[in-house]
Amino acid sequence: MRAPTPLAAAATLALAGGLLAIATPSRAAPEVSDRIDRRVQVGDRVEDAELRTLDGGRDRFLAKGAKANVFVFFRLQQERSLDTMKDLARCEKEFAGKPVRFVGVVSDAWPADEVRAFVREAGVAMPVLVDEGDALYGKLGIRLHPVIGIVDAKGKLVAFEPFRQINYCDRVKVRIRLVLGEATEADVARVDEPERTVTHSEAGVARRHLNFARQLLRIRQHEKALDEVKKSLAFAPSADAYALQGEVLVALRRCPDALRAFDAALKLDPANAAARDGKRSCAP
Amino acid sequence: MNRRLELLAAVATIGLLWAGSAGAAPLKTEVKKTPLRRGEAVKPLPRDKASRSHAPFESGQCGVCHRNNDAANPGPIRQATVNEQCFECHDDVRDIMARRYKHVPANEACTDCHNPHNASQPALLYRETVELCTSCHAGIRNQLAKGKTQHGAITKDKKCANCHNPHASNVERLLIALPFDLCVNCHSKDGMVADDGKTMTNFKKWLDENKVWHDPVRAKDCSACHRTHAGDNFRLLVAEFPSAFYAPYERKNYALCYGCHNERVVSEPETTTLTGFRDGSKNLHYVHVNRERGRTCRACHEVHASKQDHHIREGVPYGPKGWILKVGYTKLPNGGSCAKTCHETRSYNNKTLTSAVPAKK
Repeated sequence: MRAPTPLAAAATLALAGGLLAIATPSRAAPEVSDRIDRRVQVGDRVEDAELRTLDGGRDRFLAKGAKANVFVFFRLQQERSLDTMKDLARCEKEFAGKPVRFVGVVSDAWPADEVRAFVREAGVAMPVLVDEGDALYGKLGIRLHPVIGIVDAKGKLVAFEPFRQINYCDRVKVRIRLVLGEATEADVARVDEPERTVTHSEAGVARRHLNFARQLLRIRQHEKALDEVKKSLAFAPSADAYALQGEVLVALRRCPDALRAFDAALKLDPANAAARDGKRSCAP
Repeated sequence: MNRRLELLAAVATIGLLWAGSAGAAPLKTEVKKTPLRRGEAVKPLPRDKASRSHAPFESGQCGVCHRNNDAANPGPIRQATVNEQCFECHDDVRDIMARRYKHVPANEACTDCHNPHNASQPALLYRETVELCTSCHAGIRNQLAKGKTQHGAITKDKKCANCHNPHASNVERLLIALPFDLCVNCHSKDGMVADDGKTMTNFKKWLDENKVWHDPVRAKDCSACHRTHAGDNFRLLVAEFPSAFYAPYERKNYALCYGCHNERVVSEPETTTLTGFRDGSKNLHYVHVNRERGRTCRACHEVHASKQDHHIREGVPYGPKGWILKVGYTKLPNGGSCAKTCHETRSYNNKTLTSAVPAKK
């Protein structure tokens, strides 16, 4: 890698005024600061730029006609960049045929041959732009690698996602889908704040006892089935539990008790079919 | 059967890939899939060795799961697959298995981890939790065996299940919640002491008091920087990070920060793009850090949260007694300044190529 020459540095500064038009976001400042250094902020407008491509041509940073321009700044000799590019290779396939354009951006400080090998290993099909003198990197204030940004059809930055160890791909994909109109803000919120996952719940235990009772009834272990229903009802009273209690009591030829159980079920759920059928089976 | 072979092959491949990249990527560890447990492996333990029993087995109702309600000849299970059999009663687990991320063995057969008859472990697990999990998760077993420090979370209470849901989850790595929401369950109290005897931060309090959060903190991604099982580095960091105020500059010592940050911010003497901490094009990160007696990141930056922009800390523990040295940073329209502490008050200008410091005559 080499240091920028004074000329390159001056040229980079000369680009400062023109490359990006950054508007002050109108939203109220949140309690926790979400402005990080001087990078372009979500909600800002990002102007397009033309850069050299890895294969010697030239291409735009933002493609016209794309509903979502997804850019990734990456670097070599960094596993997180490689992992992210591999994830994006899968993303490219997932969004194939949709108006989504992926583009990679890499510093010109890295030898082109090494970048090509890296891109090959990652398996991405996206064009890779060479950021001469890190001009674009500097203007956007990227600072980190890898970083994925999403720009909508109006040129507004709608997502800026530095590397995440957990749920990175999901975070990016749901934001692309949001731009495409395939996801809602609620979907984004569900990915960003996923529901805590529990295995054990009282409702679950109640269902287990009830299901067990049903199996015991099937093999005609009526008294044991009745015990399991009682355990289920102790955790969570339900129409299904009372209805099953009634069925077991019918099997035990205890119709008066069964009728009380069916009535309790119908009180909780007047449409409970098992309770209705059960009542008929106890009819004189 | 073919599908099962394909699955095993896929898991083995992932295991090999992970093993190959171990070290560089903190959460990637080797997984060795063990064979499916069937037949003898799931038969009842002798009564004197079992402290827990599955209700149908305990009550002698073999017919709940088996074709015959006869302990002497129970025959095969009634459903086509183990899991379908279990879900007849445990249908809440069927719902759990609909979550986004599924544990391969749980998806395959409940009996990979549970004995359906009886066991000596809670939840009818056929082995102690950590032993069971690491019988496949060999990389984690290796970390736990070789790491200088083990995370308390893996040795206490529910062990692996403190943080992971062994069936399925909405979060990658089968985490019960995003990392921060798990970590803060413990790291939100005063007086926790680390292995080195130092008091650990109460993060809830610290983050409440300091509103400029480091990006991984904002994303609740503690594992971006910390190992969660065991490790060799200070504070279970995933890579090296100088723990003192001064350190000779060597790229490898900053591997933690360079996991995301651009190392050129310290290696390039001149820049107009890599950092805002520059005077003209003179890279002040280079000036401070890239030297024999370099100031480390922690000399100026808070790693979790700060009151000032750029994660600049207000003061830094200095010297053997941890006296707090004020940093004295002030943000200015064209850059910033540092008041007299480490050096005389100095300003920098990052908006032009002209230095804020008058040239020496």
